[in-house]
Amino acid sequence: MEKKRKEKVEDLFSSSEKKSERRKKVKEKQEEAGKTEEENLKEKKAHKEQIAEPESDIKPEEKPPLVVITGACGFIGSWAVQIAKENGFKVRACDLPSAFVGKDDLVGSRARFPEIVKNLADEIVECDITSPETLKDVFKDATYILHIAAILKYDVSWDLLYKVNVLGTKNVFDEILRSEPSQLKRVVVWSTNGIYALPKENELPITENSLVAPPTKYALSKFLEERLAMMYNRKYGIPVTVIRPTAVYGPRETYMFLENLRTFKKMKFLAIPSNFTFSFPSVHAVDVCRAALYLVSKPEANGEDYIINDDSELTAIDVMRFAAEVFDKPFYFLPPVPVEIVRAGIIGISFISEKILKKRLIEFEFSWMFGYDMRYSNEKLKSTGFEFKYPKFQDGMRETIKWYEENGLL
Amino acid sequence: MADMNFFSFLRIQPFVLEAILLQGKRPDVSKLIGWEFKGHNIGLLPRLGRILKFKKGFVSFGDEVIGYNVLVEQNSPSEPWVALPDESSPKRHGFFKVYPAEFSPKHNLYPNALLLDYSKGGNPIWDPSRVLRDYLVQPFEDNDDLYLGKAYAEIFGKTIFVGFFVLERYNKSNFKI
Repeated sequence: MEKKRKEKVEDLFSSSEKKSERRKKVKEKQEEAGKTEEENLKEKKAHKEQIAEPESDIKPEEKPPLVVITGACGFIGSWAVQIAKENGFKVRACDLPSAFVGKDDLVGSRARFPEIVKNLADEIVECDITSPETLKDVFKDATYILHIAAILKYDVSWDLLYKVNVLGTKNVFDEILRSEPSQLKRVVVWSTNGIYALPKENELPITENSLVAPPTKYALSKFLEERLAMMYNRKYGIPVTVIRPTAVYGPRETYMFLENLRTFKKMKFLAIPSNFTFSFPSVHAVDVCRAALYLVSKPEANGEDYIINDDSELTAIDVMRFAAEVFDKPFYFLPPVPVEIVRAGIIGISFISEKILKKRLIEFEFSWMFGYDMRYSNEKLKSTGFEFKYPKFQDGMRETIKWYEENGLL
Repeated sequence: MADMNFFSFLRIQPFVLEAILLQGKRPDVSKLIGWEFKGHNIGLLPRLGRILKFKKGFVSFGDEVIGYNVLVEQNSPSEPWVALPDESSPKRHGFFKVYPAEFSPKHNLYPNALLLDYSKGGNPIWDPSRVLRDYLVQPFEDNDDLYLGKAYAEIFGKTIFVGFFVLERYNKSNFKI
């Protein structure tokens, strides 16, 4: 008993030592960058004003619980840090050492937001989920863990996807088990809507219980990731909630939506075949993070999965019409074209460009999904009482476009 | 929680099936012996050949494990697997020897798989099934009812990809060789 108590005290001591080491590390980095404490505070304040969000409906407990966020410097991770802070949580932001270096970088799939994260988070931890030794004590004292770190790309090797998304998640859960955070109330695992079979007409809308048949290797890796997490939930009692966001947009997203918007903006007019009525699912990054932090407090969400999709129910035509309106372009309907033929063409083009010419136009695996009616139900999430801040894509996207323009991206 | 099942595999693209095959684990033969599994071919060749549904069974034969195929009615995947010519006397054919692929000097593309080697199944010399070499993995460690296979044909020393197939535990069998 005495030995155990001693170990616990030592543990606590080493933990606080590590925390102060971490803080020291960040401070040293800031000093290296030639900033004084005062300048940093000023920057921090200015930044907070710039990205401030109206008060959310999530009520923090009295003593701020610690949220550990993996992949904190990415598009969604940085939003998770921000939303958690705005809701009174204490945040430990974790990411690769390289992710914390330098300024915010808004370029494509390399987008990183170290400045936002360093300004907001209470603690910064450099770690790599593929190296278990770097995860030691990362989850210590955590009340909630948002596991976001992952490779989100369709044109990378299976080895890499498996190593990061599946084995990396295994390392995260092994470390959670090892460190036994007694106050841990929930781990939220970020999956994807893409795990479901490309739907037939009679299979709509897609719900949490729809047939799972990942159409891409990325989706497969996320499915294996969530399956693994649920295994830890069943076998070891680690409280887990899986969320499956649909296409996530919002400021700082520069991988998918921005490219399309740039193309639309360059065109003299926008046109789309009149039969392209297939659905286009979407959800704002802020709502994804709000949903995650909302579900952590719901006992009934333990061991459950939730599709996170807004209320828009837009079709491809609606999106094109919206883009025409935003960029003030004429909008026309083209004669109907069989979707299957267009899809085959896109698959062919993407195959030639990616596999033969080694240039990325459209990711080959992603092209297989073109034209499917991806209508998702958000009933399960809404039945918990969650309310979207951006229920309509158009509202959230207008703000996002403004952010792109302000940052010289569009 | 949503999970993958037999029908999931029929809806998955080959490049994803390949990834599942790579990460799968080698099936435990003791969990196969004495059982017949409903099977479904995936891919263009079997679709052209109109042989989609089948059954595979596994029996022990001395120290070895031997497997066989059962002809079944080619009805819809949602309907039962009905043996031909009839359930009481099914036609068993296409016998194969079962052993770890890593022990094969030539067919070890997937060392994590079992090899179903039709050239060592005692099939008559004129039987075309002798060219087949199947790899078999268990995609999910906690589910020993579901298996994914990849079939090749060895013709004139060349190994040609035929297609993927999925197996799910279906019925016990007293068949003996």
